[in-house]
Amino acid sequence: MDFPQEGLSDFQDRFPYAFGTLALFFLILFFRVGYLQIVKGGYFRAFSLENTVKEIKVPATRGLILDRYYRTLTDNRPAFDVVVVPQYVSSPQKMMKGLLDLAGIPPEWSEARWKLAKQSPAFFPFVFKRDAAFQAVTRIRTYRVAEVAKEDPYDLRGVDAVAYPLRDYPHKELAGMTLGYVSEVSSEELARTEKGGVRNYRAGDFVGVSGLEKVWEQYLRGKDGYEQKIVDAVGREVNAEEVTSMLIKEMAEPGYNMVLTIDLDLQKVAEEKLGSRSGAVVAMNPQNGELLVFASRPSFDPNRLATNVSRETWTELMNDPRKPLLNRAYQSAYPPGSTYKIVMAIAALEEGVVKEDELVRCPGYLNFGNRAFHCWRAGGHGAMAIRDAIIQSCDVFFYTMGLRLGPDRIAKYARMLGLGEVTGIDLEGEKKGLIPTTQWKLANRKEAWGPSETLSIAIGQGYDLVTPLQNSLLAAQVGNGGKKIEPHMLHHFEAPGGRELLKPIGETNTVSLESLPIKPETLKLLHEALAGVVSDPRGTAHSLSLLGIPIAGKTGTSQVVSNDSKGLQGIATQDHAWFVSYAPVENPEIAVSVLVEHGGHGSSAAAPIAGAVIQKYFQTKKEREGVPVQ
Amino acid sequence: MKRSFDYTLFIAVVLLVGFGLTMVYSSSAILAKEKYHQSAYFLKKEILYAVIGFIALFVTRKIPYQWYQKIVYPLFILSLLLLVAVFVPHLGQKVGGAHRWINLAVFSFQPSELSKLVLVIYLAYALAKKKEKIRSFLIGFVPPMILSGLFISVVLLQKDLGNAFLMTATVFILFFIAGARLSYLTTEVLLAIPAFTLMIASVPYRRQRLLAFMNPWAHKNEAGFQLIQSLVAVQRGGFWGQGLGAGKQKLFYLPEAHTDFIFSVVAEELGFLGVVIMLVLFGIFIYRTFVIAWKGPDLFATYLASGIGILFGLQGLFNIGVVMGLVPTKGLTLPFVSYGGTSLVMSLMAVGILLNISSQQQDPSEGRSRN
Repeated sequence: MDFPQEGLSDFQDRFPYAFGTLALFFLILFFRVGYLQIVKGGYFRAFSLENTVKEIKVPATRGLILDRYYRTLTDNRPAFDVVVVPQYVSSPQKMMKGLLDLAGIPPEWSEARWKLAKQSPAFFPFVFKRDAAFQAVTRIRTYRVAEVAKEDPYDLRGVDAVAYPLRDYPHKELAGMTLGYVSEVSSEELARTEKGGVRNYRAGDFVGVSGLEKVWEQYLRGKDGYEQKIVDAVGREVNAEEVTSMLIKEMAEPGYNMVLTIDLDLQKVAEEKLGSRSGAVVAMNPQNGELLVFASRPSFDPNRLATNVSRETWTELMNDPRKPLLNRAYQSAYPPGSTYKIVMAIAALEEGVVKEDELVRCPGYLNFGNRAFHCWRAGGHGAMAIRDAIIQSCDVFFYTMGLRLGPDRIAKYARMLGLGEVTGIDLEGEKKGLIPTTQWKLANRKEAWGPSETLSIAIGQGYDLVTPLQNSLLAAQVGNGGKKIEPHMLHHFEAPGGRELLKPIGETNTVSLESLPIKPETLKLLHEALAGVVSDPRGTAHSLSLLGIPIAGKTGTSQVVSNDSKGLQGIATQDHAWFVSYAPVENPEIAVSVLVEHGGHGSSAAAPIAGAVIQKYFQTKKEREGVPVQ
Repeated sequence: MKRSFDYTLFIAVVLLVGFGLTMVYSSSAILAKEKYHQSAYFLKKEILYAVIGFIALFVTRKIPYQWYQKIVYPLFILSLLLLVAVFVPHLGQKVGGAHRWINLAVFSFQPSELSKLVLVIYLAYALAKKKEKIRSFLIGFVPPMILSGLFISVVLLQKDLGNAFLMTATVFILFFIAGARLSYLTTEVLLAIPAFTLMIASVPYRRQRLLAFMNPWAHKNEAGFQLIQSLVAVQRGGFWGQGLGAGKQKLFYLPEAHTDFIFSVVAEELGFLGVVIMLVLFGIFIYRTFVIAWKGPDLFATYLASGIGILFGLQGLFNIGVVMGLVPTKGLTLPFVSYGGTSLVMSLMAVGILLNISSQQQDPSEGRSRN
């Protein structure tokens, strides 16, 4: 091995290896191509020019929403879409005639859809009609043939019916806004998610757009699967046994079922009692913040928005002066009226501006500045201590407390009890309400706090605004002895079929045992006074004592600023009725707040609804005795 | 018999380029029509580059390869400057999130294509000069390694992981055949693995691509999409193919059909037969390159020819490997065939260099090993 060039001996040894390895890799490529094209080529030889592999989406079943006893709140039902694949359509006229005769799709509709279909990719199944009747689907499938003669009236090549699970809300309006609804993903939403880099949704997918359906979309949704199928020129499935085993099928993963803390029985009672009136009922377990009722009326039927939402339906819902799309339980804030006296009493006692037995005389009004501020009882309550002032809801007593405390000290306690702050409930768009301070006034109204304004807020009027949810939290936290709780609606998620628990991250569901800094004596007095509201013959909600359940509560009647709701003259000027309560008085199991818009007096309009919910609670509890609560 | 011109090599290259032009047209016509209202848009540009490339080929064929040894450092610096120039605003062009092109007003220039060739020239020079000293660590091994590393790092800065990886592999193989100690090389490889792993893991789209490669069906709507469409195209081809221009995958499904994934269009339209013809042409090219290397008049020529052969061989392997789902998606073109002006011109220049080396063979009829 003499090599003319010095230093090439290594080269001679090693060069063949490098060359050989490269050659080996080329050989591997060669065999790989052979494998793909000749061995696996049979995979495609199975179909003629007309046949193609189509990937068909296997939609995931959306997780159900269940109440605390696993009763269905939202369901899925099988539905059929009539779709058209433009590239297989040979005679649009004969197709539309077929769709009219067999499925009752009007020609104007078909024309419009066909125009749109031609703009989308030719191979893409375009939805002609959502949720078609089952008979229509059968007829279409019967009349669809590959060979169409001239004299045949219909040509349904390219038409198909696709089955998918459609969201169903069996209780219709019940808890409508809270559950929310799903609808087809919008093109803007599609563009937005695609920009994010991941194609989470495809055209035709359903997505939760409001309420719980939106908030918990990622858990409820599941994961779509897909299936390869061989289809012929008509888009019909072909049975090609020799390749069936090679076709890929990926199962869909159903979404998680969502178990709520809501009690369907109580929810029904609350909504029935509200009836045609506008308002909200929120009930929760004061020991752990689990919401039992979350009702808002008027409501809407989410089924109406699940498919084929017409412009009219939308316009109707959006323009309805009764605002059915507004979830009054937490998206709307009202002056708390006399229910605010709970906060006032706590603030006054805690700050020591009043003694338990100090008497304040109510002549029926309080002169302040150059104006007389009236008590709701024109004749006055006479002299009374704080306990009686709560029971009889004396305005003059709390005007006096207001003047002693000032707005900032009142706000401190209101906020501590959860008013004027978001509760952090697991829903979107929660209203904060408003608890004014002198600083707030300066910053937002550019003027100093007027002393007479203190009198307004002392009885829950003026700037004060709270949501029914906040007010039920107030009742619950007073009732449970000052334990801080977080209202929530999600109990847990579970995998379908199994009991596998999945609690979302950050959703601990555990009771925070943090106590509010309120003296036990203060709370004890409040308990007695609020129990007196029902049990004392002079109490504003004494009628509830007929139920035979120890209930503590507070009525409220808040004046309506008349320019607030136009178009509803007459009732619109009536006051909002409030009632907040908990029962039983000792170790309460349920706290309820009721708001009836323009309902009139809290005692007559709101208290009976709370009473009915509480009654139902103890009634079903008795029936369920021995059955452990989930 | 003195052979002054390697016809086999030249004809293989001409056929590959011709093949490439045909497939570029077939795979890009619809895209071009949609985007530029002119179905031959890409074809015309590619023909222009092919013409420039063949002129470059005949020029470099006339330049004695020994000359490159004299200008190796200026070339090296020029190439490095061009690589950096990509980052200069207004001059550099950002396409698809990666800085890889220099805007020369008339046409875009991709400096990393030049840098591949320059790296090979530099290494051939360095390795030939070191000769036996290559075995010593500090004198022979370290300096060229550092310079190559610097070069590759700049390419990496352009987010061109594919070319960086290709260059790294070429460097290692060149060092190997030049006689560097295996222990050094092994150590270096072991050091390079975590570096590349980090580079892949730290960039989401690269990680996605790798995951998609391992299980394309699980990512079929995202990163795995291309690969699946490519495999479908290859399978659709069968033995005879769907016929030139009759491929369907390029229509809606296969992105970058005329660049990185041109091979799958070949496979779909021309079938196994077309693929074999192309692989054979490629094989002839690589084989001739190595023969030229083997018979090289001196060490520099040998290493230079080997380097070119390794570079093109690996790039072809990677590209086809990606299309076949054997290698993760890299973003490397198929030399001579894929659309891409800089790549084609540089490739043809390299062929010119090879032809010059072969024309200077001392003993063309006899292989050295038989001496």
